Amino acid sequence: MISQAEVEDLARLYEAGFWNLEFFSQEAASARIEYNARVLELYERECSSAPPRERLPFGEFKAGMADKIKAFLKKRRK
Amino acid sequence: MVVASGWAAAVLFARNKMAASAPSEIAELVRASEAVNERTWAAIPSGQPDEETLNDFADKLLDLRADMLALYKMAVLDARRAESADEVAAIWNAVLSFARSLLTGWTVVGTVDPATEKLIDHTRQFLVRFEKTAAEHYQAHSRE
Repeated sequence: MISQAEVEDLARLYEAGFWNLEFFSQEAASARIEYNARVLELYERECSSAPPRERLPFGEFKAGMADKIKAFLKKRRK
Repeated sequence: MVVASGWAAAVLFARNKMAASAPSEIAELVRASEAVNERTWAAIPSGQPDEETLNDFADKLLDLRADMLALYKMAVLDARRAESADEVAAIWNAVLSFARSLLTGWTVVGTVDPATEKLIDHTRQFLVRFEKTAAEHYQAHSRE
């Protein structure tokens, strides 16, 4: 189960890494690396214990996580 | 001497890939950037250029970079507004395909003049970074 604090932290990294308009921003590049690492960690924690045939593919997990974060950010901005 | 083998095929491949999924705004911007790139490509000096020719080429390369940076900003803004990760992936897939086609083109080009080569090399370095960044955006959202 992914906690609210983890979602908030991912949202912070997502915003810094993927919503930054500055192409040359080192901060944004670092945030993207950190975001990807956290998503991978969460995947391993949440999905690695499932049998291989039932395991959610990483791509699906990653896209689902991005959807979740986008929804969280949208809700927070309202 | 200018060598451009493989580039036309890469651009066509990118166009076909984009046509399938890119939002029309981004696809339109990519087409505009393609035109800027073609103008820059046409301005590559042959032989030993005089100062004016070299300066004109340097200006066109700057235009190309500025255009790519504008495309980046627009893609980020469009991705912010997008409702789903799939939409974001489609936006960045279009940008990434275009960046790859440019990189292929500017990698195979060869010149005899060291000053021209230096300018082109600087552009290549920028395009490598651009392609990497677009790939990061795409990969974080794609289902691949």
